[in-house]
Amino acid sequence: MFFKKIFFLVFTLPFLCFGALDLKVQEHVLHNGLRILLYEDHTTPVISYYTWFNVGSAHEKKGQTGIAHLFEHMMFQGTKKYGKKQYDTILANHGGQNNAFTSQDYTAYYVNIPSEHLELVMDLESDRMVNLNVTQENLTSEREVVKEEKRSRYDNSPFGKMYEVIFPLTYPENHPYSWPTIGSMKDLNSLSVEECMNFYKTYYAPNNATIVLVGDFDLKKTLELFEKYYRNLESQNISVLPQPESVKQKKEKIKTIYFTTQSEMMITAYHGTSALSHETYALDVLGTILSDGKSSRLYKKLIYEDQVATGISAAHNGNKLAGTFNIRLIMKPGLPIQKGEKLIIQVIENLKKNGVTENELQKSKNQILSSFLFGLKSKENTAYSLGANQIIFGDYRHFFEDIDKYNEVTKEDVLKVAQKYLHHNNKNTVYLKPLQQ
Amino acid sequence: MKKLNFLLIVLIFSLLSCTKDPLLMLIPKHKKTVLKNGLHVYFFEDHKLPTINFYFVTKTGTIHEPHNLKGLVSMTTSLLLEGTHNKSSTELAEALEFLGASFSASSGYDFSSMNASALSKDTDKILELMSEIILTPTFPDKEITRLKEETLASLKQIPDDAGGFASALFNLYVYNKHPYGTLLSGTSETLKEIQRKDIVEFYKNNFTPKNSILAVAGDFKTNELAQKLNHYFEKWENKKITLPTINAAEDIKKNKIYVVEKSLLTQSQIRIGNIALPSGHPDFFSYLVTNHILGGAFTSILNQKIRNDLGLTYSIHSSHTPSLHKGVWRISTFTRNETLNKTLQEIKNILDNFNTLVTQEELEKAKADLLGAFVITFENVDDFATQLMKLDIFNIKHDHLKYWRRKVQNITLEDVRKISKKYWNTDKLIITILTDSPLKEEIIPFKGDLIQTHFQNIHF
Repeated sequence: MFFKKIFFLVFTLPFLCFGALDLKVQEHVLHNGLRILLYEDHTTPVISYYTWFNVGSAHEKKGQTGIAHLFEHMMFQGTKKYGKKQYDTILANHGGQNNAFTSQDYTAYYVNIPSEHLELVMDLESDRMVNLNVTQENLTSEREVVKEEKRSRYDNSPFGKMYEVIFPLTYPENHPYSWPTIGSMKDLNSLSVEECMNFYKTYYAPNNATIVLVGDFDLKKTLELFEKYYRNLESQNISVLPQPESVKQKKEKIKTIYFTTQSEMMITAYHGTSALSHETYALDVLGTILSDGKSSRLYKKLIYEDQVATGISAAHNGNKLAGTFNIRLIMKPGLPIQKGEKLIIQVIENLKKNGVTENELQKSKNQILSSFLFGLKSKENTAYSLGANQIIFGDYRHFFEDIDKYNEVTKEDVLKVAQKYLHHNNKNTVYLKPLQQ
Repeated sequence: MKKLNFLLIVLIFSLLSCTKDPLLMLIPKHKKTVLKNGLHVYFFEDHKLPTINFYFVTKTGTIHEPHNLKGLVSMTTSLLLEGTHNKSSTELAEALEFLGASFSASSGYDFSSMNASALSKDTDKILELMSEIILTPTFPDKEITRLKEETLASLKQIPDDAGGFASALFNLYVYNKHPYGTLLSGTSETLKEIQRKDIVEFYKNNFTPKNSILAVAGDFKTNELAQKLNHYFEKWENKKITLPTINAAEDIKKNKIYVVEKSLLTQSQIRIGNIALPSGHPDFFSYLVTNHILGGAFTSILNQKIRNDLGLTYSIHSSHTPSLHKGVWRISTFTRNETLNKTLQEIKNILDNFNTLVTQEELEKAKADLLGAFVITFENVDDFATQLMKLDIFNIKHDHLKYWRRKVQNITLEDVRKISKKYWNTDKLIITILTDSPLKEEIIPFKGDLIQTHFQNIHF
């Protein structure tokens, strides 16, 4: 998974290549199973505090799609101690910025705040981890907010509409990635307080969470605070999500939808591999060679030379249980999508026949290296990286190996994954065509 | 190797001096020099990471373009990367990307920017490429034609993104015929008029050292880098620039309600606002805090009421962006079509009753939020470097940054109420609604001239 890999690597590269960065991450596990990762950075008087839960839309049951994300919203509604919607107000009163996000595999909450308010953040976060107050009133109101989010990001957005179709097209009905994180309107409308509370009790527990703290703090004092605020939280029995069977697709699947756009668009998802697979490194390099920058193969062909498209991207998206290699295309208005698709296939088939050059391979590695280093500039990115590694791989130290893994990728590896995954019968395509007004 | 004494060092200062006021912003240690060619350069050394960033700004923006050649600045900046005296567009991209470096150029209304990033081990290589790009662009005809076609296609695609479309429409309506109202990329009409000779002439007359500022942040030694800059940009010809005079944007005199129809949208986009402050205006800090209370934060009055209490939207916020010749203030949101009337009514109620709704508690919350966010925003020396350049462009003293938090802290409830009364009159607004069908007048609680049109009648 290229995006996540970027963050994994940021820590190792400076350490290995430049010897200037000494990232001493402290790991502690409380008796109730709460994992804490700490990295001190005193450059500015600020901390970034991430709380990760090992739960995402993949953990949802049929008929409850969207509950993981809706619940993320509910986490801001208040507890007995800190009343209705007080969380944001209290943080704002102390200069804190906060937000949260939900993916298929995880849900994360973060606060960036002047470091003097660390204890306040711990108080708020430990409290809402177990004492949330879910009422019919705040569920009703927040459900409408989430439905507006869905209308904005999916129903009224060309790519959102396509994403809503590509998931069920790509994965079989019983696969946990076969629905989008936002869920369906029908399920959102039917979710009850009881279902929310069950979800909360099942997954929001210290032994299903990882806290990452990066920034300006005193280690000894901070560990005492963690004991003070989190030690009494009770752990829960968390069942591990079973690994679904890998998808064996025999034939290309296609769906066409219509929307009021000026251009024809397309998403193609080839079945790829889980983020945990070794092949993900070669797939990331392949994505870079195909569409990262103006000298990449697809950009050069479709946008620069043949001038048929205004947007093209290709990247492997590897999640915990499975992954897809996605190609997104936006045509110039008036040009048929098939014209662009034909050119994409030409580029891919050429690569599968002749492989990549040594120059392309090295360029890709240089681009990845550069991205890692620039990503290190922010405390928030650092905290994100540590948490994402811990959640996806079960060990934040995974990233220490990544630089070597990228450097080990050969031309043959790239050719092999291109031939293995980018073939006709392995792909799923959604076309979006303009609806005549 | 040339020595540092070739440089005219006009100013070396450090604001790291001790202070007992915790609200003062400490700007990291840096140096400022003027190169032999007249280019002002800020140096912010930071050896935490092996990276280097170059930030160029040129004090010519799209407001300075001839009226009939809108898009000229955008074309010129984009074309810098499309060919030099010894590299084609593709060769240039290849050379930059092989280093894992990036070079981007973009236009703004008040100024244009270029940014180059690279690993510090490649500083010489990126400097060589930068000097080639800035000093010897060739503006090939085939690239001009290609870029025009690409821009024309992008202009046609604007309605595909409902949020972006609504914002572009609002900008067009609020600024009316002022240069700020035109898209940065120009229009389909004006793009056709731009010839290669216009681009070459515009480049020569505007992209000069004296009309530009450079800030460098990252892993380098200032004295060495200053020598290198003198070497690589030695031949960059200096020239005195006279920019055309731009009038301030005209204030909104009465409500105008624009309804743009685009079928099948299940949500209506709403943009409400007016012409606001020019950069450097004495009301800036009061306005900043007042807007933050209204809709500048998640805990603002608009968000609390319309999103959190009523569930009418996923996002509502207000923003105030000062510009050289008057900026805009704008409320942005969206709601399902059925709740459009209710959402508009709630916004109007809040604006009409703002001075009653605002409390000391709201004020303190907004100030705390702004003070904290300000510290968080300035995480890297890069943030300071780019901010200082912007202050220069807007003719604002650097003390603005130093005393920013103190000035926010000093704002009173009385200041806030004065701002609301002075600037937010619900009879003097531009209201833009993008929705799925024509609207009856009674749906819109704001009174004023109602102009309805179909999106296909709008041509950017």
